[in-house]
Amino acid sequence: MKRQTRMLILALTLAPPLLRAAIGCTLSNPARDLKALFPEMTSYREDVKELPKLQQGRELYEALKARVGGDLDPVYEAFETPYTLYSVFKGEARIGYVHGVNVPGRGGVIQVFVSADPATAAIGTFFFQRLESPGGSALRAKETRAQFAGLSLADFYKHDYFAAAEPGHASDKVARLVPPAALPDAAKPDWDATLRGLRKNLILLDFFAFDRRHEPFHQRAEEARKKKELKP
Amino acid sequence: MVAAPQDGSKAVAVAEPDWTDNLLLRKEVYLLFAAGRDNIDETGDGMSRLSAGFEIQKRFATATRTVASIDYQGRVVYRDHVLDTAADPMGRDASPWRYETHNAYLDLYNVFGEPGRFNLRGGYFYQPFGLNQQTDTHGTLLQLSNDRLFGAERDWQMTLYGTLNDSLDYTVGYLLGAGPDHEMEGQSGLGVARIKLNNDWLFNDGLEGGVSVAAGERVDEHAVMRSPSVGRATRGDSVVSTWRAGLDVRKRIDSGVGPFTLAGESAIGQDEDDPLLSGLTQADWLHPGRRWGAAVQYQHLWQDVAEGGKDYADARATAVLTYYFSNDVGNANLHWIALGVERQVRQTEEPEDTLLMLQYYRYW
Repeated sequence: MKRQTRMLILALTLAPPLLRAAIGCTLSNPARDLKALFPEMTSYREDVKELPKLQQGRELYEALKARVGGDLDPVYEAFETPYTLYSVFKGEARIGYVHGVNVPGRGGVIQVFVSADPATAAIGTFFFQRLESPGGSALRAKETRAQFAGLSLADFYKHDYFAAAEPGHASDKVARLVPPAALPDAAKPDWDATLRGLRKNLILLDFFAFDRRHEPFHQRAEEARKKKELKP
Repeated sequence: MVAAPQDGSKAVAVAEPDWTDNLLLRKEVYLLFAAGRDNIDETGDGMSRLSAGFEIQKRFATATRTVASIDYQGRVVYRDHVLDTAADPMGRDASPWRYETHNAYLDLYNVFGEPGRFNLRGGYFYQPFGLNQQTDTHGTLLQLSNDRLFGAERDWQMTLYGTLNDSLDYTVGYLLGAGPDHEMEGQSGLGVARIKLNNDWLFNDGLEGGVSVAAGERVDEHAVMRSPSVGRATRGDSVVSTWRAGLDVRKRIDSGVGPFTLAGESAIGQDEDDPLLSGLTQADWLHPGRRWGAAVQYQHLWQDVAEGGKDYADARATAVLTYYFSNDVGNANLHWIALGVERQVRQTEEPEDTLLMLQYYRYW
């Protein structure tokens, strides 16, 4: 056995020093799925995004954690988890982004995908790919998913602001999102996981595609939260 | 109130990717130790299979289009006291030290027609037969049927694949039939075709399935050795005239305690004049937190050896319990330790034994 151990060490030593890498949360059939989302599409491009390869990767991971609002799952949402950003083109013009993330649900994996407008960053279509939930059919229902169309990360940060400064404000779009009536009790946590997944998805899209343009909303929400905490 | 959003001018401009973009590199360590209950009584020794490897993936794109990708995966493998186990079919004839190419292929996307309709893949990879190509088995103790059906679970090949219609995907291609040692002995190779349910079925209904056919000639020393009639028909070489037809299905059942998956593969065919029948049934469970997994599998191969020989049979039942340190959904980072038991239910060539296996695997 000592001989085997020495040989393994030798083999490991000979293996080239490699960078971290992997495949992100990907569409299973990008050409077909993207064409369905953007019928006018003429081509698409996939870009793998890995936080460890970015200069500010660790900071972005900590920023993601802070903006999601809780710890990230060490199995589903590790620092090394890669992401795939799809850019959709009509001729030379970019007409959309598509991005997906994995989040842990009550029964397993929930893959939350959105298409986003490259100019406004607003959600065009929200959809699940993999959804290991006893409430899968209710969550996948068109009317459930339609609630998310038009929202952007700004709406989630505004929700944080309103929760701290003006609870029940009429402009709080996220507060109006409701789980499907047919969702079984056992799958109720999957609704919360879905909202969390959507928020995480939009934060990462803001990092990868929109140059963190929604940060002012987050800063205002943080200021409101701290102000509330200071009140006696 | 809150700040107004900025305009869209800060959106990332469309540009050619850098050569280091979409370049993915991974390392792999795989340790397997196994002991047969009867074998260890006789020999006092256990099996070791130790390997270290890497995988490189690179996607190529213009400013507006992903056009191709390459994948290469290789391992340096050391084996000692090799046992006949379905967990390491490549070990049967391998020398103690061996470099194994696991994957080496090029994809060309959307080569013509509407997006998704016609893609090309060429190189060394899973045969498009059964569930293998849509299952990542490269680190798992439980393998699928193709190794027993074709003598190797991978082959050099060229395939055309894509969307057939709203429900189905297709693959058609040519396999070299080169076997595990990449041999050319004048075989004609095999034509292969597969039609499968597309991933809408998987994601909406948890259902996968397909039908596959392959026919032609391939190199397989074991197929020659296990059947005198095949040996006579091949006239001294290892080129076996082969056809296979297979049906497969896999169904995921979601629950509050994690997904359960039931899978089955069955195939019929012939090696020369010998009919054969293969089957595999597997049940898997994965904890919702993806830390624990368990699986049981039963597989069998039966061959009617013509010209008066004794029929060939190989049947095994295997159970595996796995604890995952890392278990990325996209298989990007995997790290686990697994305990397995393989019971050889029926063996024509060797006495049946029961194997206890301990595996350590890391892929990052």
